[in-house]
Amino acid sequence: MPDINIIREHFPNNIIEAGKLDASFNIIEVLSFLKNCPELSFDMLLSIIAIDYIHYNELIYCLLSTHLNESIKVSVKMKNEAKSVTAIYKSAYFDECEIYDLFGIKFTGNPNLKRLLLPQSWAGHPLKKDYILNDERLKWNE
Amino acid sequence: MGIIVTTIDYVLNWGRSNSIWPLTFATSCCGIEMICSTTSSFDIARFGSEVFRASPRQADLLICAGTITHKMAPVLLRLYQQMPEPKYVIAMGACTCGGGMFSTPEDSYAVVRGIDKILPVDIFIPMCPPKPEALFDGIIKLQKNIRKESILTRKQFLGNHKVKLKEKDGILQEL
Repeated sequence: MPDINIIREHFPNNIIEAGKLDASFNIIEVLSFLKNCPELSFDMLLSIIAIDYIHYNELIYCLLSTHLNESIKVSVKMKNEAKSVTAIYKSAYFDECEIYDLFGIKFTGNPNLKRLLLPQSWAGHPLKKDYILNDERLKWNE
Repeated sequence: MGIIVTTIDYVLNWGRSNSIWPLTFATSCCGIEMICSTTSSFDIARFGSEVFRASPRQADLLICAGTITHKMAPVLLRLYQQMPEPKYVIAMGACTCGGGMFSTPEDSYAVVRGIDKILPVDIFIPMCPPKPEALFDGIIKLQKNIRKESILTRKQFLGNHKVKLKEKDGILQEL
């Protein structure tokens, strides 16, 4: 993890634990700072990881600084609605569509949120812990 | 009259069975074995099936090589319906025969448990994935079937294995 002190100075209220920077309440500010700060310049979003903890969901943004060759993880904990970061990283669009498809997390601010992998008329979000496939239309497949 | 009809059947079947042009339809790892079977060390041309067509309108045989998901199933059905008669289907690999390692209800939500639920299948080739020799065994069995068949028996076979599904909202549903 790179120069933690710069991040600590700017965001004293955010907790850094287990190698992750928790940004549940100010994700947009944190990501735009990490991208635009000249000493850090995390200019690449590698991936967004979603985890279903039954009572809440967690998103982990993996960022890479191509100048410093350093990476950082930023985490967000929320229920079912998250803020879209497509305005900061354009490549987040497909990640957000995939997470919406498989976890059902709605991203407010995403320009065109739709299913990426499954058919558009699919019922439910398969990677959720409480998902059961009981679609009447697919009875022929049993 | 009987003699003439059998003779026409014989000539037609001889021609058909030795020039089964497959459709290029590979959805996963079985496709690699299918590609291998066209190379000179295996040489699918010995059976007259080396001309892989990119268009279903020119193909006689659908070698379904690979897992079929619910999103891919409408494409498979449409390609099958676009092929002109006489057309034959080989289900290649465990996934197309019965779902393979995705077949238990807890394992996969997205995989079709065997393409025989969608299409009439002539030859099943299990194994994961089948070697080119196994594919040739399937093609030889199909050739033997074609040489035995008559116009009426084929109609009977297709009548018994009607397509009962239809695409709606991006997934296949019962009619």
